[in-house]
Amino acid sequence: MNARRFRLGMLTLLAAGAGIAVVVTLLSVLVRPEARLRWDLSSGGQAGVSERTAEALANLPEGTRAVAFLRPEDQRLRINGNLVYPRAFARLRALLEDARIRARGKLELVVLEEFSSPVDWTRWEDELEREPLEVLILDVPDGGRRKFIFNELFLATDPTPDGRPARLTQERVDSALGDAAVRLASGEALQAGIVSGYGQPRLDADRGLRPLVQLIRSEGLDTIEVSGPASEEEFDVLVVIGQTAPFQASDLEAARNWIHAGRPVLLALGPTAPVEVLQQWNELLGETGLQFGSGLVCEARPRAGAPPGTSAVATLDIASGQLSGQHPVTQVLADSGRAQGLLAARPLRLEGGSNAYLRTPLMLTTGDAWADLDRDYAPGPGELRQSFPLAAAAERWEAQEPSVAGRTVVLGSVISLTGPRLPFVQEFTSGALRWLAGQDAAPSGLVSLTSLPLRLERTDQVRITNILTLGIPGLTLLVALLVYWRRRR
Amino acid sequence: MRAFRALLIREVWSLSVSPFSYVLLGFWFLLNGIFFAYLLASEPIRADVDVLPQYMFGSGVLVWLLLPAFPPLLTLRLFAEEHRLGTLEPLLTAPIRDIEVVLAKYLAACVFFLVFWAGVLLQFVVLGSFGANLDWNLVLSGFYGALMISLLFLATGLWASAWGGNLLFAAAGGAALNFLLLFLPVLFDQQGNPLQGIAHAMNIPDMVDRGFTVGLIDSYALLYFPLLAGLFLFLTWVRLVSRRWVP
Repeated sequence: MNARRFRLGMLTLLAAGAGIAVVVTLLSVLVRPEARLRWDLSSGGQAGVSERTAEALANLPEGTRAVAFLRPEDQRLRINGNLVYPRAFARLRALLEDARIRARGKLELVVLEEFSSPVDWTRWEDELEREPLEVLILDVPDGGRRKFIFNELFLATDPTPDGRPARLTQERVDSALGDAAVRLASGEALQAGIVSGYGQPRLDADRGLRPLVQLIRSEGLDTIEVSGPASEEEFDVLVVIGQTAPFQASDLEAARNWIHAGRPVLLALGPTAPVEVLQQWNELLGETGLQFGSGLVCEARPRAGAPPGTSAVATLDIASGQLSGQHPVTQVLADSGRAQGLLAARPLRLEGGSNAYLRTPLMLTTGDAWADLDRDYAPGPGELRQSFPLAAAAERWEAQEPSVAGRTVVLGSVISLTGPRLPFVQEFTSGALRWLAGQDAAPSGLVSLTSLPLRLERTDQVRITNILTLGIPGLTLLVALLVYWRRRR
Repeated sequence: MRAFRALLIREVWSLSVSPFSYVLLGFWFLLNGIFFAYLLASEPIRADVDVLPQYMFGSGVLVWLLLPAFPPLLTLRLFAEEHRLGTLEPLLTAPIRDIEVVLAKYLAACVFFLVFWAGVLLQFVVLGSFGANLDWNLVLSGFYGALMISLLFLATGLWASAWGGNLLFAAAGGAALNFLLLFLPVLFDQQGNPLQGIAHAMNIPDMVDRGFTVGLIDSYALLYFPLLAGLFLFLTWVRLVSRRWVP
């Protein structure tokens, strides 16, 4: 009897083991990325990564890692309710998983959730030198790395004082991932040369240009500190922020050659810039038609606590309607209703210049602004109220290559690009950097996240609740009673 | 084939005239209805009903608590009751192949469980009739994912039911196995765990959350559930017929 039971048990185990082995073998073949097929059934067909991004990721070297840090860090987006982070993170998880599978095994995916082990968080943050707000880091084994901050990937409306929460409107994870993969695969990261030898704010100070340096890096550009344009270091984009002393002859000549060659420039000079510096740059930028004006741009908004005569009038709220809807730098912001904020700005002028250049005001004040010349923060007799350009871009008509297209972005404020003020113009600055780096070849890559809000009358809500919790279950239980009664009979 | 069809119809009929099935169905509708109504009252859902299918078919806690428990309750009688009443032997000696018996009982349970999910789909139809702007592609994709998981959990329930006449064991065993299949991979799918690769390949909430409910259908997920369900049906068949292998 015992021998029979033993043989029976062994035979059963053997059969079960064979069945399990077959299924495990089949699954282990099917789970390999190259054996998988994916179908996107979402109505927009944008639930997964595009062919271009999948191809670019597949060209990355073996061992490339995508590490997602999914923890809500911008508390502003959680005011009045949290509608942004859950959806953004769900989208990121789905897209990254799709990217992992479609990269044919080249991409290792690490997703750190809010509830993941703090040890893991610390380890990955240290290893990848993560800064706050960075939500995704693409890391290739040879040292190339691309960091993405949340606002770079997702666009959200602001929460409103009347109690409406921030809402997610658009995202560009797919195109950003694709751009980064193309650049990392080619090993050609662009260099931004940040001039620091002429009284600029410090690059390593939190209240200086450190946040801007981080932003530039998060846009996929490497940064190097150069004393002036004549530096022997190789770089692709010239960045001059807050210059307070005029260029020496060699740097002036190098800057002139740089602009003449049509190479990209990001320039910001505020109201405190010395006249000599302004004259130098106005002369250098003469051909582009971008010029710095005089004074401090002010705009009174008494209801917002900025009456004339107070320094608060120098804080400028730039509504989305005041941003150019035609230029790649600001088009996305204008379309998605994103406001920007500038502090202490000098007006710009778009005048003169060569016909070879196309110039566009990117950011304008309202018609109520004035250029304050006497620093009384009130419109004086010679200070006419009008609309002023605060940021502008120029580009050559005929150049085919973005790197020699004379792409220049000029901003009339320095404080706005430093320290804690940067978040108020971060999206504008990111757009400018992308445009200067020639990343606008494929359109912005924005995907609209259609939100389908539900607006129910109170009575409808009650009706639905009654149908779902009383009607359908009650009817089913009634059928159960009927069946029971019939069976009893 | 005729015997298989007759047995399938008999099994579907016996589930349809069982008050217990309807009580189960009623509770399923009630709990899902409460969850649905609760979600409708929450701000994130009202702001965007597009995420509702994710909660109802994938990300909602209730889904992961109810789904492993209900299929074994439906399948517990299929073999365990036959064991208990002593009708299994006559059935297995009837002129019908053993695998057909297993398949007929399994398919009958699948057909009836389709009604469970159809009720959840009906909730979306009700919401749509009140003017909610739903993305039906996402609803149907999530629905399909939920059906696939149900196929697996019904198969495990059937296997648990084949172990003897104890109904409690059949229900609790099936549910426990489902919870293990569901949550064990999640526990091991952690960075640095040597079993992470295997665990990730078996992580059902991930397959649903990052696949079906966002509209992405993956060939692996499409085959994972039927293959695993097939394995448990095979194990059920082995369990029923192995006693004949040794005289």
